[in-house]
Amino acid sequence: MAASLSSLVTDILNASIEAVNCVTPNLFRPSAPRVTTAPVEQTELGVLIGITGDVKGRLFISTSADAFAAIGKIMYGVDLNGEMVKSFASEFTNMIAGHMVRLADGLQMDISPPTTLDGETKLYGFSRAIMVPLQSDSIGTVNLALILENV
Amino acid sequence: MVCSITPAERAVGEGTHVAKILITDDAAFMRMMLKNVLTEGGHEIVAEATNGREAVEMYDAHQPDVVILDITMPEMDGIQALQALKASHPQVKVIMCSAMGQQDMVIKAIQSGARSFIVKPFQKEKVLEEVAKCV
Repeated sequence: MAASLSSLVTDILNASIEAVNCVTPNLFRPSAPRVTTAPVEQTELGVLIGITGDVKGRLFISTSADAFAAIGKIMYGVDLNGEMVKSFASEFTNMIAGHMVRLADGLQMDISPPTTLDGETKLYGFSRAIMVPLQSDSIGTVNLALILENV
Repeated sequence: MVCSITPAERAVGEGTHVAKILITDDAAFMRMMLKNVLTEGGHEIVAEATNGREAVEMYDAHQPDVVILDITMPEMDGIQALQALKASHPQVKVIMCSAMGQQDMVIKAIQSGARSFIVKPFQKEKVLEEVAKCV
């Protein structure tokens, strides 16, 4: 049972990382994933998306507003600020979640509309999360967290 | 001789039809990007909806040539909106534009009556190509 659960987590994790590369080719280098039981912290701006189906949980992506704006500039060639940065952050996370669902072979999943979290906050209420810092020379660090239930 | 070509038609070029388009996406950023691409392509955005329910309401009010629908939206998702539009207006031309590009979702959208499916992040040329096929 333990082996099959680990395999499921690995599949979702790999799909998430592959999704980041689909949405932003060659922009980020994922650091080694780590498991945490501590609350997931956000310092400035983050987006939470619910995952349902064969796997239940949440995908959470957070970084600075400036980093999200820089990603938007690279992807679409537009300067973003204010509320439009938050909207882009929401859409960026939505795209990653959507591609993750497509890439998670053999798993039937769906995603919820995104929830944007603005400012310093912490996420509680889960047993463990898998953290994957995404590094970019031009952007800095974007934090991806997978909070999966019962796995 | 009086020239009857509108500025929009002139911008698009000979042989290209200008479409009246309803954009539906809960993300203001995505509505902005689609609007930019489509207006630069010479088309007219007649309305913007933030969810499927608004799209269905706005279709009746604005009678667009083409509806662009996201899938994951609050209140009414894009598939539900597509089905509602098709039920009341079988001739409606809908292009899905979503990050949910897995095979069964694309099949579901096409079987529900969508003309085509664009996966986000989209290429500008793809959006304009799919709109052109509709008009």
